[in-house]
Formats: sequence, C-alpha cells, structure tokens
Amino acid sequence: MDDVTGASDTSASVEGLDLARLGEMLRERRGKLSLRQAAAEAGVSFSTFTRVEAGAQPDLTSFTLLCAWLGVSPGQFFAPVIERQVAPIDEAIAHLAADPRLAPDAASKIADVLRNMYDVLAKAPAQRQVVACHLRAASVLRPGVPHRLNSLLGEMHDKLAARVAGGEL
Amino acid sequence: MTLRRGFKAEAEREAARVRKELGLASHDRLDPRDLAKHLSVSIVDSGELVDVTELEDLERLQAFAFSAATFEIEQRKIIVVSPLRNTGRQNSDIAHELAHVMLKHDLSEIREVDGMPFRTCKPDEEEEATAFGGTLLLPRPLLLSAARRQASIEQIANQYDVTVEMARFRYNTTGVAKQAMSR
Repeated sequence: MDDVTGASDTSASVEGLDLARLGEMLRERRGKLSLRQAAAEAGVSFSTFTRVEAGAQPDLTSFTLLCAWLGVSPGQFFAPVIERQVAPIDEAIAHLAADPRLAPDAASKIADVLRNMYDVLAKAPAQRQVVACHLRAASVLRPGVPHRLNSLLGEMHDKLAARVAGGEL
Repeated sequence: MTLRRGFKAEAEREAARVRKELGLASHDRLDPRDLAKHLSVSIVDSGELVDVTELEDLERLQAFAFSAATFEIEQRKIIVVSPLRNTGRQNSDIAHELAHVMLKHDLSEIREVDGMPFRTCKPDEEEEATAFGGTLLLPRPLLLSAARRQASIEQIANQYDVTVEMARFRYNTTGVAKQAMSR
C-alpha cells in the first residue's frame, strides 16, 4: 500500500537528515559520561550537545565534530534520495493507457488534456540558493527550521538586491 | 570557548574610539542605528521584505530561530532585523551585527550538504561579535558611572535601551561594582 499512499513522504524525509538517529547514537556513545564531559570530548558546547542529543540540528562545524566523535561518516545521516525513474505525469498516462474501460482513443484524449494541464500547472522545482550572510540565529535548529530559514533568507536577499538595483538602498 | 587574550581591552578601546567619532561622551547612550549610519550600513526591517506571518510561523517552530542577518550586496552592507524583537533586543542584534562588520569577519552562511541546509558558524567569531556588541552599547566607563550612582540593573537597561540580560551580563563581567565600592 505504501507506494500508493505516498507514505515515504514523511516529515523526516522532507527534512532529509536523520536527526533522531544522530541523537540516539550520541546518547549511546555517551553512556555514563555526563553531558558536560561528552561535550568537552567532542569539542562542542554543552548546550549544543544537549540539544542535538534531543533531536535538534547542529551547525555544520558541530555536526562534523559530533560525527568525528561518534567515529561515523556524516553521510550516513542523510536520508537516501528516492529517485523517481518515471516522471509522475508519464506514470499517470501509462495507467490510463492500461485501463481496460478506456478505448485507446479516449485514453489518448485524456492524456493530452492531462499533459497540457500538467505543463501549465506544474512548477519547476524551487531553485534553492545558498545565501551568504551573517546570521544572528539559534546555533542549533529544530527540525523544519533550516529549510524555512533558508528560503526566508533567500527571499530577503532577492528583495534587498532589487532595492539596491533600484537605487533605494 | 574563550576569547583570545587582550580581546576585551581591545574592544573597550575600539568602543571608546567610535564613541568619540560619534561625538558621544563615554557615559552617553549609544543608538546602534546612529552607529550603523556612521559606518554606512543600512538597516531594514525584515517585515518589509517577507511576510510577517512567515516570521511568526518560524518563531512558533523555534523561539529566536532568527533575529538578524547582515547581507552584502554589491559592496553594500545591509542589516536585516526581526520585527518580533523588542527595542532592547533589536539594539543588541544590531550591535552584534555591526561588531561583525567592524571586526571584518568573513560572512558565515547557510550551506547545503546533500540538499540539506546547514548553518555554518564560526563559534569564536560569534563570541567576539557578542562581546564587542555588548561593549559598544555598554562600555566600561559607562557602567562604572552607573555603578557609582548605584543604578540598578533594571535602571541601566531602561536608561540605555538594552535588555536586562545584556545589562546584567555586562555589569557582572566587567567587575565595575567592585571597583565602584573600593573607592
């Protein structure tokens, strides 16, 4: 049933980083060490260690340090990207073509309509730009925050660039 | 993490120098927006750039997830502040960002790894900016004069438009209370 309901599209895979597993591994590796001792060993701050153990996302430097302390590759925490072999519209059209209730001509007419609508309505995947800026923000971010923050910063940057170009700033 | 040796004294000297440039006495209130103008840095409210409800949504997900940012666009430096912060906190945020500019820190950024945005941050630079930002707003001579007239932390925060946390932090770490007593 999973492939039909799209159950793979959970918030965890949207976020793309297995923070729960990272937190779990930190707790296991820490064992009887205090949070303070473990943080000192790993070379991150006490608050960063505590929050990441509880499932928050560390900044890049802390993430690298924590992975090194765990002795694992940072890559293992990234959810594997589920690659679509067939575009969704082609898949839908293939289903129509295979429907015994539709004559080939009818299936092709619906397919044409679908393809036209899809071309008009489907949005190109959002180009996420990497924004260079100094950021006064929490050093440890909760799940869901990095993507939103990134897109907000991108929006701010674009608006500011337009204002600078327009001589307003 | 500790600040490099001599940093605090340097910060005090630099804060005194910039106050002189602005024509302020050592015990005057410094409006970080005036300092920004002096340094040719623009300040923009992020509510003018993005939907405020989006900022509020982010705030609900995580308090203080975003407070301020400095962008560099065509050699122009622009500080963006969050409208969700009160004046005292905005002043801290602006002072912190100006500190990065004055200390000529490289831009930190959001970097994507495997499609996942990460905050890159240099903890020592963040710490320097926090320390210097606080020194700009509340330099030692200012705190010493407040201590001598026995102003409370709350009075200091009110008078100089900073948060109580900032006033307490600066008051305690500069040791001005002891110096005022020993006279």
